[in-house]
Amino acid sequence: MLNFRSSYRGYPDAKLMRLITKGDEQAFSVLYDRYGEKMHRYFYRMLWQERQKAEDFTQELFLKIINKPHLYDPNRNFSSWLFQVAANMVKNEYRRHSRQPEITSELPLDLSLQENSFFECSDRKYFKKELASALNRLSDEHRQCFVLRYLEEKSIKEISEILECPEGTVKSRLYYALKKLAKSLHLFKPESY
Amino acid sequence: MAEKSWDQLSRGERNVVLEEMDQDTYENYRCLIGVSKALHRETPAPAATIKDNLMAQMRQRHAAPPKKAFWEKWFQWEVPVWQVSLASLAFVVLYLSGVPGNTVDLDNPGSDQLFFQGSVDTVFLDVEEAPEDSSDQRQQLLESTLFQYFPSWLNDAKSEQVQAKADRSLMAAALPQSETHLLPPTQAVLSAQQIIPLELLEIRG
Repeated sequence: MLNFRSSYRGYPDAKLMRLITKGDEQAFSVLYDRYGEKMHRYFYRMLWQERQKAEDFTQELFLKIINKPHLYDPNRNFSSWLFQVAANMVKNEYRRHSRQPEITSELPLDLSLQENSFFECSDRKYFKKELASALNRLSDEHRQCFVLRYLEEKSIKEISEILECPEGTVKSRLYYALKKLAKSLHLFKPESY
Repeated sequence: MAEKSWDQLSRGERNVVLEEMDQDTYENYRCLIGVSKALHRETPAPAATIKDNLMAQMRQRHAAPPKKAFWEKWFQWEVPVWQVSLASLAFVVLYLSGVPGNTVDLDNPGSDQLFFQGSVDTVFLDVEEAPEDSSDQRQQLLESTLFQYFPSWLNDAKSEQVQAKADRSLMAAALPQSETHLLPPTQAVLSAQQIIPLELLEIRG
């Protein structure tokens, strides 16, 4: 069994999907090991760092693979397709909850009040917390682009496929996302972390 | 930006960056991305139960369904209630209004009605009875029509027979015909007629 599973590990995603369509459990296990954690991280980051919600969405995403594997087009990159499905799920969730914490003020929210607390902010843990908070305050589109480009390390072309928008739009969103983040965290000196 | 520090950038790349931001901003953005990546990597792993649930779902979905006999399928065949009720209603309506068929109202046949008869009935045709043919006429007819198909030697023999028959007829015609005289019945005949029925008398005579 171990040999059987390890032989599957070298298989490309499209081949694993073909085996899953035929009901191969081991192929699904390998595919989950490959993408399960990654997709969970993505959902966690996109859905306000709510662990339970991220787990629910991860499970739902892989259930779609089990129940509707034929929806995958083998000519497409599997990773892009999977992230596209996940991005659509996230969009639906945003729409359902209408939770769009847009930054209305150009001033950093939490930190603007703490101009003289630079030394308090030197704590690494605190900085990460603020960074996570600043990411949450980004608009949905900017957050999507930032997470996919810098956290999931997708190329601009892949992001444009996942989000179904032109590459120029992706570049522009990335630039503004970085700018907003930096502005939110301008009291910190990231170099020190 | 995520891969190269300011020092690693070429002169051309630096010029592109400087069009948008200064060196400090670039470095700050780069650090921000680095810290964000580290933060992202620290995301808690998903619960192991997710994979167990998914594997169970996978097994359940692709488990072979138990084979069923055809009558089991037949009895389990679900017919929507609306279809059954519609069919019943249609049956009742047709029954009450009379099922359309190929019956014809002979009393009031529509002038422009068109009927198609599927089966053919027995047809009786009145034909005039053919007159009884005498044996002589029949014989002549047979001889005239049939002999032309027989071989010549057979025709010759047959013609001899016909000739002989004709001769006999001529001879019979040539014989003196006995005249029939109707005499008044004698007393004896009259008395015999009274005793013996006329039919028997004729037979005996």
